[in-house]
Amino acid sequence: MRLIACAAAALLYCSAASAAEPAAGTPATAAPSAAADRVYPPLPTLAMLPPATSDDDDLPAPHSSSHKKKGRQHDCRCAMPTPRLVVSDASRAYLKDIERQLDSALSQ
Amino acid sequence: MHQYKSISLRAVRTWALCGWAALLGLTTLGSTAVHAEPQANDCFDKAGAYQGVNPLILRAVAWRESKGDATAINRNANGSIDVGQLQINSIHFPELTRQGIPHRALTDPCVNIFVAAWLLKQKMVRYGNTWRAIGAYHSESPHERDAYARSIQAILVSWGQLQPSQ
Repeated sequence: MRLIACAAAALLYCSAASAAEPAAGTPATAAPSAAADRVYPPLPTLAMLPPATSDDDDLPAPHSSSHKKKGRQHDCRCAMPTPRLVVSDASRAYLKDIERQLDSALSQ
Repeated sequence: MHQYKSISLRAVRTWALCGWAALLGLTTLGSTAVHAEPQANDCFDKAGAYQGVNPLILRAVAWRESKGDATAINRNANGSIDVGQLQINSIHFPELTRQGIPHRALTDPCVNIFVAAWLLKQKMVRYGNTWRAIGAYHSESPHERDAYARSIQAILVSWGQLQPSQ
């Protein structure tokens, strides 16, 4: 179940350029970034993550001493999105029902 | 020994997939499987761009296969089952498992679309950017293949994406 949730989350946020619309009469057109003669893995891999940019969050500064100063502490509330429960009882029940349907279909 | 290697490889793939989610999920505001439908629409574009497949074809296939019902599970006369809005056939389950995708993951709308794009791309590599490739998504049998391709054409025509004469 965790894998499903992980895969879904990964897919929802994978980077992708918008695909070209087809010309009339053209059954399928390849996006510019994808090779026409190559089949990629079903799901993007970690290696396909976009490279880190300078816009990314700053890494924490290395500790120069064992004494922490309160003034250096970073207030994470300013720029971070509000955490929200991703998995709910409703989603668990939904997935449980789907699993039951799949098991039932496979066992017939 | 081989079994251990296989198991560890599967575990690595699983965690790689989860790592993707963890890294990209940093910006997430959250969503549940129950409310995954709006994001699934984006998945057509993302899967199309990823594999180099026209997302409109994927949308038309989803409409042809299940009228866009992400929960569709159907049993075929030959004993196989089709899962999700693009009706991924259970004949592909072993290969998908080797690729780190358990068949239960196909009930996720987005995974379902990405897997369909993967299957369609295989046909495109084999048959080129042709209607034959689209028909072969459904069947390699010439009669069924051509009928399926025509049905996808008809859907695109009805959506105003294709001229009726073509």
